[in-house]
Amino acid sequence: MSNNAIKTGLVLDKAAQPRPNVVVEAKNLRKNYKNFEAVKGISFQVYQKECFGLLGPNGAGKSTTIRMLNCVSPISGGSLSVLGHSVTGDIRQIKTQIGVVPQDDNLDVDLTVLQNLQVYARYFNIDKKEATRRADEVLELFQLNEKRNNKTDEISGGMKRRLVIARALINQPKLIILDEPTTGLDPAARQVVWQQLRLLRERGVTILLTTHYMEEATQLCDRLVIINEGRIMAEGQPRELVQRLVGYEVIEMRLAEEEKQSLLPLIANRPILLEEAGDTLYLFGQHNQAFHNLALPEGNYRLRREASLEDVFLRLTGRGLGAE
Amino acid sequence: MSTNYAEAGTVRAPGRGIVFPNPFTLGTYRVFQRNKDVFLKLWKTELWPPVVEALLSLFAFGFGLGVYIAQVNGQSYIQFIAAGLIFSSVLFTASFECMFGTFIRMQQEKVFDAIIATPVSIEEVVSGEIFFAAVRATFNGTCVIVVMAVLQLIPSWWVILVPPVALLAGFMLASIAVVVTSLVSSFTSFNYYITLGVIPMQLFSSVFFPASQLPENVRWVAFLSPLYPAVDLGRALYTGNIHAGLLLNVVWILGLTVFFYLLAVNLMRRRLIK
Repeated sequence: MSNNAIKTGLVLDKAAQPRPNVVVEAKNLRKNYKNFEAVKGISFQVYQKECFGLLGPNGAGKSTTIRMLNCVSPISGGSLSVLGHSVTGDIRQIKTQIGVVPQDDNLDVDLTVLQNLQVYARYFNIDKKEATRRADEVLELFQLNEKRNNKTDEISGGMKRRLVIARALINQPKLIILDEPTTGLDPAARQVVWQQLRLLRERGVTILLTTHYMEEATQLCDRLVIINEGRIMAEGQPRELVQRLVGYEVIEMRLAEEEKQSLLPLIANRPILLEEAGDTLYLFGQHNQAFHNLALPEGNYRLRREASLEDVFLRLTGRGLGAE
Repeated sequence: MSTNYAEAGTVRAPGRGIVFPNPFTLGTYRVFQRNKDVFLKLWKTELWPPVVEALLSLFAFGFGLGVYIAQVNGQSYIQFIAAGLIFSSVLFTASFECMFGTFIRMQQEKVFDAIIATPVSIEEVVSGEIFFAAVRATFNGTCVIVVMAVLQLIPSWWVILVPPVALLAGFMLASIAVVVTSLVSSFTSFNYYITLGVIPMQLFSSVFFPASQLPENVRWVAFLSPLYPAVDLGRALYTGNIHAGLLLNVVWILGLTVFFYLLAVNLMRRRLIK
């Protein structure tokens, strides 16, 4: 009884004094559509100046969560606050202080690169002189200056993406929210976008992004949550998550049915976890010596590599990130 | 310096329920400005057609058909048709802008999604679309007046009140078009409204002939048309035939405008806020 009272007291205390550097706070957040539940009660916090990731496959509820954060989709349950304001209250307070990068490049195709930024700035009531000054700044930062007078349908996919990110910075947001920032880009263009996002983080902008590329999450995120089917499966730092849930090394292999039986005794006394996804077996070595002197049966495919977030996801859900 | 948006009032969180927004906000004007900027970039292809259309229509109806018609209600036919053509132009401009224009911006270019991520609300986006269509419609309708002025066929100074009526009618007709757009899933569905809405409105609202010429038992069709009170009022101003009964037209148009505007905003919210 007294124990409970103390616990409750602690919780109340925490609620009364939120950590000053909490930028986004979701508590038991839910979203229902007509006949399905897209987000089933998720809780997470994003801290100031960090890059926070929502990692999950298509249909996990990432974009739905982002739409609620951007105040364009009403929440169905729980609570969500952005920069200290609830998304169910006066959302202008939130919208003036966030930068939004949507999944699709919704640029104005009839306007030039510069005009896109100027027109967007006007939605925030930034006057033209100031808008042009800020546009010059972000165009410089994102290496789009030579294209400033081109129409947006004349520039490459990678440049469009950078322009959408540049546009999201025009109101000098405290938080920038990106929904799958590099989906559809080639590897070179993706590297450029990552570089720019790291640059923003260094400048102290808080970043929240969704992605289904585990490499993107590893490269950019300080912390992340893994979402699947509207629920959070794990939370932590990328490296720490991999080591805690998977280990160090992974062996992927494909074996005939009868060979599989002979595999089990070989790994029985080792710190190895076995997972099967589709036609592939995954051996997760939880210790850096786990595979030492291990003689595996000959398969038609075998790969030994470092453990990654992809493996974390596989272990948590029994399927890969790419699987629908 | 940038203005603090907090001064401009609060924005309600998205949600269900019927809204009664104020169409005269700064955010609405921002959306209007965006459409205007894009329009003016394309002015070479967008600006001359209404003038040429006005000339062609006046020539065809006034000097072609007009030869066979001596007078309508004591006016030459070209003067009768001119007042009708002003509002026919308003009808087509406002309707097409808020069908095809709005649909492209909403569905294909995703302009609405970009705007509602900023402090501008969805209600303001819809209002800005309607305002822009109304202004375009007024411009095109006014082209007919200018052509008539050049031809020295303007009978009354009351004509200067026709553009404000065109603006109001344009706002109403654009709102109706947004209602249609909020319901369709593709371009082809616009054919229903064009064939069953826009064309009948043009034919039976006293544009080409007075509604009083319709057989008595179908005359009510004209009174159902939202365009009819606007044509009737506009023609009275154009000819200087001013009487107290015109106030009824004003009230009639205002009532329809408020109704269709609220319907348009709420249906668009229903479509876009999920």
